[in-house]
Amino acid sequence: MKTIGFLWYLLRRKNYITLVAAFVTITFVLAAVCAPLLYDWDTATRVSLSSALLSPSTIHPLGTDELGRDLLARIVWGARITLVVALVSVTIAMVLGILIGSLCGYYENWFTGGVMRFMDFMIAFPRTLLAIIVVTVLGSGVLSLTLAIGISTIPANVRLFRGPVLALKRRQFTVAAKALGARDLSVLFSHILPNMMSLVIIQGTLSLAEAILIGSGLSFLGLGPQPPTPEWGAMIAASRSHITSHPHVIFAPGITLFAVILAFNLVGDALRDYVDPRSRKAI
Amino acid sequence: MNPSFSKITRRHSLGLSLAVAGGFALVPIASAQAEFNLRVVQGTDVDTLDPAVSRSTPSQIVFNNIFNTLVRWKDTKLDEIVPDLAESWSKSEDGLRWTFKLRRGVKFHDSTPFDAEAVKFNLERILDPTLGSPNRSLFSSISQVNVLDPNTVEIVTKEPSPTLLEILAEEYASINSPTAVKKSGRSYSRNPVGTGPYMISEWVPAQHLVIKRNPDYFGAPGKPDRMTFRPVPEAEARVIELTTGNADVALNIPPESTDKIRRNASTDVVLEPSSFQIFFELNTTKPPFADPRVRLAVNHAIDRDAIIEKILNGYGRVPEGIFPRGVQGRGPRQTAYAYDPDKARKMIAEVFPGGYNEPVVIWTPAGRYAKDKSVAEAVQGYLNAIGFKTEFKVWEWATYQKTLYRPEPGKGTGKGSNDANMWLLGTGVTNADWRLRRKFSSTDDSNLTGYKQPKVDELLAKASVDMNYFTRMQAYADVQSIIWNETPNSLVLFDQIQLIGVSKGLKGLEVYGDEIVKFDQVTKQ
Repeated sequence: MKTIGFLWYLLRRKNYITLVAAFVTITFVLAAVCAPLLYDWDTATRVSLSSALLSPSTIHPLGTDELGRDLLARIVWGARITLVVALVSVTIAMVLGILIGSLCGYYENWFTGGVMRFMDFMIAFPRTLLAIIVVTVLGSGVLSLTLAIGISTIPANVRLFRGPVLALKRRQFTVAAKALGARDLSVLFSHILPNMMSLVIIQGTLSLAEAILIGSGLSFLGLGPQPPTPEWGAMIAASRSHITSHPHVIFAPGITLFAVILAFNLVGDALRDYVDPRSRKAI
Repeated sequence: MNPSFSKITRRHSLGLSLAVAGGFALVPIASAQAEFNLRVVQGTDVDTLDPAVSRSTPSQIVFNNIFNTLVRWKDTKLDEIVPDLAESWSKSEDGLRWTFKLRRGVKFHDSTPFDAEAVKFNLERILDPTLGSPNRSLFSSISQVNVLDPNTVEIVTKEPSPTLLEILAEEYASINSPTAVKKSGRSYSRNPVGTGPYMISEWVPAQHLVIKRNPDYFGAPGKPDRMTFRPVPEAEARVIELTTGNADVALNIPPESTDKIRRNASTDVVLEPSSFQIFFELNTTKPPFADPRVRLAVNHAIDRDAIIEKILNGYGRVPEGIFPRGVQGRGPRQTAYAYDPDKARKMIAEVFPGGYNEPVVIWTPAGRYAKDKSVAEAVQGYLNAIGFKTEFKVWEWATYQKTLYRPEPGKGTGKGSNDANMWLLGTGVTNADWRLRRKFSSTDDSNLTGYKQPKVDELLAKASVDMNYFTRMQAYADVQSIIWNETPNSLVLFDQIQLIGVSKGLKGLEVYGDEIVKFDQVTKQ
């Protein structure tokens, strides 16, 4: 229902680009969920050299890659892996980020101060580098890729969510709740957190886009799921050398990746306006 | 105007007139125009310029210009050894003592005279364990080097060594200036001094390496005034460097770019046979490949024609033996393994009646050999098709190599490779003895598969001291036949074809099977 409300809001504001982006996002999620119904796993992974590097046709709508696998089937299955990796890693990063961030904001003492300094230390590393370190320690694969993206996002989230807690805990309604004898955790979870939900939603959507990008980047470098598992970044890496001779092989996953990330960012932006009461009234 | 004036010369003359207009001195630019700088792009950087410790092809290509060896191969056919720094040689009746008469009046680039002491110094240096050369075992047959007079040196071997001359012709046996080695110490690998047609001018690692002609060279002087070697790791980027005129030679061209290079008006592709064969080594110490019947069976499960045609764009050959063309002592042609998945399935069912249900672990590097990862994925597909369960892992080359060769005593093959059932490798060694000994002698450090075959061990041991050329080559042929028909240690994939991109009008490249290219006699119109 909320989705339809949001789409209606976009339509009313004549924000057609974001409307298209929203449909791309929905298509992506649907493709990921319905992948097994559209193509079986075998179609996406079975090597058949006799049909290598075919151009788009009715049988293979996007053509085939250099090992003769249907590109659309691989993109659809790749969407499933991309979505799972992105969702799980963002969930890890959000849950731990909110938990550590709000505790560090609520209790200000030498220990939480130390935790924050440690987070600052982690932020000093570029995110991709941090993720590569995690993958190197855990070994490559879907699980370690997910953990790598999740863990590398935590420090930024901690810092992001600590700020509002610092502000909210000094507000009168929080002080009032405390004066009435509410316990710390109850103040935190029933008075402070609900007031920062908009931030959580926006950060969640935007991190999804970023998680997809970093995940594909790591896969491109060979740190993601191992062949024959289809993954967009790995597909781009594998078809790099065909860019001049058979461009469709690299453009199919490349444009898909580009479109999905752009769509997530546009939707995230629009969502910020949508959930922010001030800007919404200004329509 | 002279009709043979090339585009580049015209561009230079444009630069010239601009320079004059800008008020620059005319003379230095005019001489720069006449200079022939041969620009070469390679896939990997030169690792060291000390020939004694290097074993990488990009470095050896440079060594051949800076250094000489005592003897060398006459040409790319590798069937005749001719004098280089030694003018003549003879061996004693028992085959243990070799006497070399040295060329007189040769000077190193630092003016140190070349003499018998220099030969003794160099051979003893590589044999010294404190240098830690990875090539030391190749020279282990040498027991003593004696200086008889300044122009005569005697090499004594422990046992009659039929391969001594071949070993002395290797790049590792290059003769360095003793003065320079002593003076530079550990930094010698950056400041090499030899006797060759070129000397080092400048080396900025990962950027470029420039060598310039040695005006006092004793042999045929080099044709290019300078050579510049640059590492460009991405294959597609090397093609762009070549087609845009930023390089004269691009080594290791990807098969799918050949059409593009040919279509370009100013570039062309040179095809040369290669001694490189690409294969999956099979772990013979654990199932399923402990049984030679399974090793033969998987060789029938792969459609090599399809791999060559579809993935390598046709630039490869179906192997007809474990030695490709260009390797010394290549035995009679064997029958290529036919693609017959049903036969493979049946052969495996004989060994594992219920099928083999554990996963087969496949390792591959990415970017080291032509289309290595894609080929490995195709092989995985073929193995899945005959009912194997497979697990795939892609490695970065440096880690891969380190892991494969890391000794792990007491574990299966005794190597880091033991966690895998099969791993992709290639070899381009052209020396028959060394090529076989490394991979099939049960005691050699480079035998990663744990291969152990008493008959093969015996033939190789006998050949290594056999002074008769023909019976020795026959022994190698027998070993090749046993390995191909009875007990392979690998799943053979294809023989490579070397693809080198050159700018049109470039002549005189001397290309060896092991991908060493000699550039000193190259000319450009």
